[in-house]
Amino acid sequence: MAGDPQKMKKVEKKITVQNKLGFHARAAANFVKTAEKFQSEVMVIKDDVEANGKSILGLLTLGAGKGSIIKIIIEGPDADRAIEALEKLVNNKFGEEE
Amino acid sequence: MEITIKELIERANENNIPLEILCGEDALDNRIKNPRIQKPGLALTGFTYHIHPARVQIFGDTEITYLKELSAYKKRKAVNFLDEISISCLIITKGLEIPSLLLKKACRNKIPLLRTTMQSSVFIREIEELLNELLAEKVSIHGNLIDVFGVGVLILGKSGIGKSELALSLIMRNHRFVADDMVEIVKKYPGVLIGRPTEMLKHIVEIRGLGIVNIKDLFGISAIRDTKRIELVIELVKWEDDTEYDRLGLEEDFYEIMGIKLPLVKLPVTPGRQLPVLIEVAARNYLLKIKGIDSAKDFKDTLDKILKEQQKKEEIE
Repeated sequence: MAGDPQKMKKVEKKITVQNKLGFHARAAANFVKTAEKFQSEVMVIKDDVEANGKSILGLLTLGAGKGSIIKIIIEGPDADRAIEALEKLVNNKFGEEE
Repeated sequence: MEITIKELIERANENNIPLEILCGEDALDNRIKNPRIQKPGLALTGFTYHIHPARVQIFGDTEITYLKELSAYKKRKAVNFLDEISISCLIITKGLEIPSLLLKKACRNKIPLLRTTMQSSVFIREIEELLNELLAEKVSIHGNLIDVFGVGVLILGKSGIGKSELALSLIMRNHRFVADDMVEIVKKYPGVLIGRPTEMLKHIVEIRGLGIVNIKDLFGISAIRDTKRIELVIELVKWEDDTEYDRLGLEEDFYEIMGIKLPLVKLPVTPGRQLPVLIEVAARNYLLKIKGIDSAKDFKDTLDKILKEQQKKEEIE
């Protein structure tokens, strides 16, 4: 159950966007695809703009280019696994070459 | 909320309110924190109480003419208030020529001195409207906003529950689309929440399987609106067998945004439920309620009356 406090976990992490094009449309789509594999709520924050990590449009409005620092906040039963997967994705430049 | 003089000038010029900088260029980081302006005429006579440095200060024809009429000695004394109080900015209206003493004083004290060609009365109305907007409290909410029969309906719910598809169905039923995914909400006046899309996402909806589509291009100008006051909140929730849902509509639920409580309807989602129809009914019901008609309560009252009469009959017999 989502309301079970023992299983709810909240983790957050700051990550630098490293790929050349930043959070462009395909990168955002990849991010959402990964985020949706998990039950937890995913929030992405850049400066003071907040977006839902499971929404492509939301992520695109962040305008996070190369070198920008984003904060990912994840809350839910599988938060640990989700942050690991998303961090890996961003650090691997969303699977892009540069 | 607060804004710098630099931002104020930029936004004013964007909104066709002309403002030129006469001096104080290096103090454009000064901040305005209050949307109300002040006309500090009495400061020229030496009475400087109640001057709020974080408001826009305005001198119009009256103040400038008064200053011009003064003797050289009194003139010098009159502008001394600029030494005492470091106001964020001073704006001269009507394109008036600025007495050199005032200009020098402002420059020396690094106070941004600005001038507009507009008349005081018009300028004050316009700049207060702009400041109200710029200084308003704001939040961004994950959801979408549709005008249903003139009621601004904010639809909330987790990702993937079908908010965007629902928005599309409502558009197909001739309701007007405001924002999908991210709704920017501004508390512009007390008790009033105005919703709009973020600039980048204007007219845009993302539908799984179809991708990003533009509502204005697909359905035309009559299918969209730029802003809408939010009056009703619908939360889409996953149907769970062990959860109880409102069957009577007698309980009132609220959703709070920036201290303002809006009526909330929680709609459980299951395949086959006609959500657009349900939302239309919720909007009609809301319209009835604000006219003082509450169907659920009326029904309950009638029922209670019948039961009471039966009880009386029973007692007599």
